[in-house]
Amino acid sequence: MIILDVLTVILLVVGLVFFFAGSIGLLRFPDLMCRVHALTKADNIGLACISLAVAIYSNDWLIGLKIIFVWLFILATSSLMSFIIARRINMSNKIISGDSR
Amino acid sequence: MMFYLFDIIIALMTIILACLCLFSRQAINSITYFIALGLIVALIWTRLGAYDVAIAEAAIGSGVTGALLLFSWRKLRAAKSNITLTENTISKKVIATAFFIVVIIVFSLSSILLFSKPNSALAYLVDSSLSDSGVLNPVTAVLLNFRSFDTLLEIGVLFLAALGVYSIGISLFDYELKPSSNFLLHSLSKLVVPACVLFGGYTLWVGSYSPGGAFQAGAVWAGALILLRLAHPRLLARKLSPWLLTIGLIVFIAAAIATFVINKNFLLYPALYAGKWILLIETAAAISIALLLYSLFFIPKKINSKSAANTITDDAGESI
Amino acid sequence: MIIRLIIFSIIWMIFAQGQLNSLIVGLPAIVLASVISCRLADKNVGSFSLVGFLKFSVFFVKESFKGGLDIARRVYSKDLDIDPKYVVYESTLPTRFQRLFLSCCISLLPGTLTASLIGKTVIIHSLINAENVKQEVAQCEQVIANMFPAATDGKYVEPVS
Repeated sequence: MIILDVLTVILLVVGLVFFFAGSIGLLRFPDLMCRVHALTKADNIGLACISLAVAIYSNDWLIGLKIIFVWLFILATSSLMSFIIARRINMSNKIISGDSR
Repeated sequence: MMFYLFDIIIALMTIILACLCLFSRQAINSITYFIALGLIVALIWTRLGAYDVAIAEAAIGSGVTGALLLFSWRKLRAAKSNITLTENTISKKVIATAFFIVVIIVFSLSSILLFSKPNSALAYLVDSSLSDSGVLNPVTAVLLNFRSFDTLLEIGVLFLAALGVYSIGISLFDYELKPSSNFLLHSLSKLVVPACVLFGGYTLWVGSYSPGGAFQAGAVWAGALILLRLAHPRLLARKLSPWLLTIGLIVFIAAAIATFVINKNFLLYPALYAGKWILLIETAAAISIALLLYSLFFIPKKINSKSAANTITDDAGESI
Repeated sequence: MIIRLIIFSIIWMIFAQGQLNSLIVGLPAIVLASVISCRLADKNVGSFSLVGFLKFSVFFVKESFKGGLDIARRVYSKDLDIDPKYVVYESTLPTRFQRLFLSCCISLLPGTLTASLIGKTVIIHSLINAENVKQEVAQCEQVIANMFPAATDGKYVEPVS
């Protein structure tokens, strides 16, 4: 079905745009915390678009379900990882890290 | 030409990343480029259609090796050793020799590729015997049936490597994380470790008819084990049982002896049950590989169970 | 434990495409994963509401897409237009798991990133519009609270300050 192929290509390109935005954000943003912002948000949407594109292209609902699981897993781990990184960046700032010492 | 644009781009990226990795001034930069290089090479394997190798390259070449390098870097930096890590200089002679060798390799490879016919006889042989091998994935058939001796030796080599690391006796990670730092890793491990156990099992199973197999499953499980150890130092503190470490080797050798008794030939599986024999050997091998990769990081030490550093607390001071 | 067994079995079956002879590897894997998951898990997670989950999904997809779009817009335009500030927010969610869930969602919402979670206090780094952040986070908190209705955490201890 040609409309599915067109949809796949569109989603892939949109996903690429978001991933690219994340990488450029890594270069453009001034501060370490802002860069984590850019990476987390842009890359997650990019991943969502590309996963959707692959799921549509595969034409099989079982494979699509598998891809949704993979997407959810990566979503959870990457948001947790961004939290871990953000916390690590602020470790030296006593107020934020809540170090009572 | 346009069809190969992607291939040309990743080939160029590989060369650029490799040069950056070799010639960057700081060790941490080299390590980062190395991890990126591993992932790009995994892309190359995918483009060549070698999906099993791509998975193994991404998991072991980038993941486990990257973690190994990062741990080593931190440990060396913390020890303030004499090795200057901030400078990464290579002498001109080494560069010239390496360049010369690369030129020779590229020249000979390209002349082979341009002037000889590709040998498709091997692929034909594998495909024609695939139905007898007991599995549907040609890579697994070759690794675990047609050339099973090689895999047996590979697992032996891995075991020897772990023995070597153990005999040095220096653990890469031998201090306990601050209690408050454990909280987030703890939460991450709650999500990742069960998922990795399940997914590693799936990768092991699917190796029979799809890209996957023992090495890939072992790498996934090793990642789960390492994360578990980082987040819960008490849980894996006891010594690794040597039986578990060597079970891959033991099962493989036992299979060899058993097949010799049954079929008068080492590792010639009984025709009807070949698939099941392969699965058994693969499972034992995956367990061994996971534990061997894990043991490269952590040499178990006795942990004093009463010390305060072992209670995991979160930022607010509640204990988990 | 039973719930985890069921969930992991379903996930395994989806991955193995329903082949029953995969269970020879699958069953030990499922059991092991469930045991580990139980051993590592929080003492009480609270109850879970499916309707709340659906509403949360809609909210989440919409907001995280806005977040990604916001970043893309800033990155591709000439002016970065950011005003990074830290905001302190007091959460009212009962269990620690829910507060962690909130922190992760905050990281994916437009313009906010969690920097620290201490007891009930969330410290957020906001890229723009520091005044609206509290409202947006409160909205997110409400949706999450609807997903985990009436959970109690009797073991919560006041943090030693």
